[in-house]
Amino acid sequence: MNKDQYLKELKQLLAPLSKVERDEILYDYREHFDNGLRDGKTDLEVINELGSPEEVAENVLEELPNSKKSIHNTNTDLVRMVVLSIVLIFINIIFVLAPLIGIITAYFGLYSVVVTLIFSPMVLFFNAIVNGVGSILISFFLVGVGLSLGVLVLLGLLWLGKWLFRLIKMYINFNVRLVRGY
Amino acid sequence: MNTQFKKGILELCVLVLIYKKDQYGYELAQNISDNIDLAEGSLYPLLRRLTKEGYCTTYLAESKEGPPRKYYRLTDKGKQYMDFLVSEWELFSINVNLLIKEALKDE
Repeated sequence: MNKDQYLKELKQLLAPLSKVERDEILYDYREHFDNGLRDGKTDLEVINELGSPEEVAENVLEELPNSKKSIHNTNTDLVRMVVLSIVLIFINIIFVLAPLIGIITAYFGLYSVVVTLIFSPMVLFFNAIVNGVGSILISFFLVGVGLSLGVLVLLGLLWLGKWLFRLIKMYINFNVRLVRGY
Repeated sequence: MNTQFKKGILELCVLVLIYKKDQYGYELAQNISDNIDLAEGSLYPLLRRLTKEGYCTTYLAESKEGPPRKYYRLTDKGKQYMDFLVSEWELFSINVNLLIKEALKDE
């Protein structure tokens, strides 16, 4: 095999690439040949040092940024994942954890509002019936108001909880995706 | 040797060499193969990736003989990445040497 055959074969093997990219790559290898020949080497010596066109093409296709293969296999990627995980854990502990606990606590705190809305008028109502304290009519009305408001707030809370849960899940997924790199 | 492992090492060598001075592909290939057995063809795909990831930049410079050469220069980002890889490598090699020493001590 000589230089021209080598470059021709490489060109064919790089057919999956765009013409611009292929030409750039071939330029590099042509330059390498020229430098080697000027160094007093023969075509064959340069080819032996380069490796076969198949090997080169395989390398080129592996190093493409959109090739998942290269993303998963490189050693540096594992290092990147570990470092990123540690950074994310720190960021989450420092900036995300406290507000999250606050929000979740506040969220469950709102359930006590529901309990109060539903049960405190009932206490009033029972007091009115059993002990004769206050008006039965007004406290009955209050039971109705408290019950309907309580149920409304409860429904709202359930809906909010669903979204809160989804949001947290999305955030966790986002973190995982960030670490895995796609 | 494991090819992925070798690629990681090659990446480190390339970064260190172009940190020392800007070099063109053939020059780099010669400098690396002085010390390490290497299929020089795998160098260019690596250089392309390093360039794409912003670790180095390229420029063309005239040569006394023949056509202009494509030189590679390390960027600041590349320097940071190199420092990181070098410290990783040092830690790694210390641990491997330690492991070998411990294992062969009893023989």
